[in-house]
Amino acid sequence: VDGDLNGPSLPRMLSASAEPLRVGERGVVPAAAVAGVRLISIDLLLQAEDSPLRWSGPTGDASLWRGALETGALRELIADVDWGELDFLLVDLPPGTDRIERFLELIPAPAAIVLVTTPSAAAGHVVAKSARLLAEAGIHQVGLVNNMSGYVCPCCGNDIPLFAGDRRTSALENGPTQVWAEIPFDPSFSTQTDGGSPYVLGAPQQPAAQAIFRLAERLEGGLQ
Amino acid sequence: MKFLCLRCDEVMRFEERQLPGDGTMGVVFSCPVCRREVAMLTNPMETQLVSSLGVQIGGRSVPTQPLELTRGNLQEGRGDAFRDDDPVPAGAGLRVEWSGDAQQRLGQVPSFVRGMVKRIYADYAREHGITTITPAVMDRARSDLGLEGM
Repeated sequence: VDGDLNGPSLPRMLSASAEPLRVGERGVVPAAAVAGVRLISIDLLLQAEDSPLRWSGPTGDASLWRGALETGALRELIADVDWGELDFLLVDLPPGTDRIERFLELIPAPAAIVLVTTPSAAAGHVVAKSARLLAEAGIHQVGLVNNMSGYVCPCCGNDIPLFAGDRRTSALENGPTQVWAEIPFDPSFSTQTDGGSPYVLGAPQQPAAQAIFRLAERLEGGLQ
Repeated sequence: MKFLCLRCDEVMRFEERQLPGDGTMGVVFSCPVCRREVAMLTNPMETQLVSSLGVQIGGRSVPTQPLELTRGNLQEGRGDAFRDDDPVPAGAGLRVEWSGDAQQRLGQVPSFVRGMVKRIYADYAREHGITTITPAVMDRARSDLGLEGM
């Protein structure tokens, strides 16, 4: 589920089918995407690539009803889709504690939550708020992914820091949230995903892909 | 939310809902004992807020359609986002026809939501034993089901 209603990107990154969605007896049939992934995203419903998410209704007081409507829309994207039998249901949410709270209203006990950050103090400061909120909500399977934790030199293979100082985010290192993965920066990541192909399929031997595989294994092991 | 008749200490019953089409809504409730009536009027913002919460004032008799809230409120929806040729569900029963006027009116519904709206009206007609959908049936369904803007 592409839960980023205002900045949906997964249909492009996963080459989701542009065919019209079928409405079956048990709900909307999700779009077929690469590698057998089934996907639903608000982007599949929007007219043009640059169509912003806008709702019908009186514009003057939109701030009063927009949040409720978007929570309802996210609920529909999760619940009104005929997912069939799944190995996992992944919901990709934009950053911010408000999004997590909305999500927990819909799914109060998710099997796990992955917080993605970068090794900068500012990012850690923000993600620490989400980590605390989840801890207070009783969600214990919470892992941290440190994105762009370094840069693997294509010439010598050395892992060079991208950010100054300690790679761990200081606001989180003393908390209960464990780091589940450190993913080094790889410029080909965006080339692959912009072309609609998952990076891990296009460059499976690269250090960043290996780190993602380890994250997937850890996540799967934790859920089992 | 409920309205209470203080004199009879009874919960008032939903009677009628009116959607003039300008975003406002009028809803009439009556006391089942003394028949006293009260009307609730909402301005466009209040109507939208209630709608955004997914509340159907007075309930509804046909099932909610998948992604109904999203499809019914989204601006700039893709015209061909949904297949419009979905078959009538098995066991749906009564076959429903569309009059020429009703078809013409349905054609004015944005293509993004046309399939969903068509299905809602057809379900409503079956529910009420109506074999031909006319503009009058559409008006009644719209009022009964609280389909603002459809």
